[in-house]
Amino acid sequence: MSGRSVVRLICGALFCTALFAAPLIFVATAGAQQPDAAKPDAPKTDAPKTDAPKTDAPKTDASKPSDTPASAGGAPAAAPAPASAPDLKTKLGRAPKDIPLIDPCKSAHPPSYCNVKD
Amino acid sequence: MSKTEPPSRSDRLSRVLSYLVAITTILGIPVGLYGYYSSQQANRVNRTFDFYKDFRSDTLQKDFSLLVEQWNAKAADVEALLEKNDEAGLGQLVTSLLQSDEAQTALAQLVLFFDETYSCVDKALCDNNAAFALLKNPADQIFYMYGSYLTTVRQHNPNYATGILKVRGLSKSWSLL
Repeated sequence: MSGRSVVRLICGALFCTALFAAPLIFVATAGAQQPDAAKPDAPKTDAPKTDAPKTDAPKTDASKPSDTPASAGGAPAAAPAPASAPDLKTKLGRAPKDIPLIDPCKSAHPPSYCNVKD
Repeated sequence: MSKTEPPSRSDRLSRVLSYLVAITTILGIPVGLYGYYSSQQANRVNRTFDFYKDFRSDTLQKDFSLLVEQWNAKAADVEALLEKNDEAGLGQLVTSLLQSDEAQTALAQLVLFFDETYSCVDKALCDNNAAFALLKNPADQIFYMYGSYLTTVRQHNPNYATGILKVRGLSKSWSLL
């Protein structure tokens, strides 16, 4: 084999390698990248002591049976979302320790904090 | 005109060998790169799973369960407040749940855990998809239970509980590996 053909072979091999490898590297790198990777890292903060004013639990009439959706006679039938929570508690006798019974964000009137995104 | 000589046996052999070298090079480098990136990816997944194991460890599960139990104990109250669309009342209720030192410590531990987790994901040391699959749901649960409190604190300290929000906002990303 002449010197020229060796050079041609090596160049061809390198070209083909680049052709194969470039998309692979691109895809692999893109896969590893996170959507917010460019943003600065959030510093770890200790949990602040309760800044919020100490308040007692708000007085609600929730304990009254008339407030539960099932027995609310005059209540509109438009807010049925969280109705299953106490049912589950009643069925099981005790609520599961690691499953929250109510998801406010899936209720008929989700609180505004549900839309908070960092 | 002189006749061209047929290639000798050694010429043919060297040509075949050179083709083999070229093919091996062309295929070998991408395969090697793929292997390298796969092992990196596996490390990232393992690291994320370690975080998940930490989350499922006794300490953090105890903290998580405490917060869930407190929340569930007030399920009826929460339901009534939601029905009345009383957001301020819900905020007060949640704040009242976090008055004990135990509850505060539990929440602080979880906040710290998710800050660490997101930091790992953000730096691409942990895998986004594994974090999405394993930890998004717990982050969601913490946020919807204690989100009003977290949001209030974040108004004073915007970096507080960033990890929970970020992990909650993770989405699945496409990856070849």
